[in-house]
Amino acid sequence: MQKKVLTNINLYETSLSIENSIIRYTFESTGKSKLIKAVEYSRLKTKSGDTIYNLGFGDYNSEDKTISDKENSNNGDMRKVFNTVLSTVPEFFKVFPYFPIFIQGSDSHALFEQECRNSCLKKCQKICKNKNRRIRTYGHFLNKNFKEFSKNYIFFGFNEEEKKFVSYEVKNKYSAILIYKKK
Amino acid sequence: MKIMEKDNRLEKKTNIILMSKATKKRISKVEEEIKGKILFREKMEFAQKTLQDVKLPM
Repeated sequence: MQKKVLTNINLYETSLSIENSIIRYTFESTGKSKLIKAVEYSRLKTKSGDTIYNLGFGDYNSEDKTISDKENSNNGDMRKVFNTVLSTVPEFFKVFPYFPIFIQGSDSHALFEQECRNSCLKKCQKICKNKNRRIRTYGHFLNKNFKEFSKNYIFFGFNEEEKKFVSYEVKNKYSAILIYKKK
Repeated sequence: MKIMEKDNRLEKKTNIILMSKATKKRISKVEEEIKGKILFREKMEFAQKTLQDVKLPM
């Protein structure tokens, strides 16, 4: 006999704004403190003429009145925030079903490790633990739900050494992820 | 244990935490402030660089 296992997915309500080729979802994280966060999909043309949408995510900074993806706010509601970010993926595809979403962490670029070691308190030895942290989080969540997500989406991982996209395989590590909606 | 897990049917219930009126107002103000700004310029440049000689798979 099957037993029902109920999982609650808590996420924040978002506010949608579309401006030229930018789709933005803004919401408030109510963890330890109240923070405004935004998920943005920005159009990008590749050299070969393909269009992709780059996913950006960050916190509102009231001083310079912009959104920054540099800080980790650690607001105590990571799961809710992450669920909220992911909930914008199907919403995005409702607007642009034929364009892929490109996800790459701002902590994956070549100079990150050097910059991090200059200011980080963790004193990592050989491997910088913060490098690729963001894409690892996305990958971790995708791996856990891969079967379910694959019903509607096709995933590719970016192989950094070969500089090419390959079919996404759970447990492999990638420096970026590309998502297409199945037609 | 594994068999039991296999037989279990996972049901997911989405619970949306709604915004208060004050939050909506605050967000609306922020949206106005960031309107027209390129928010993730470095990230866009990084994506452009990563994808510069890459062929998309589909």
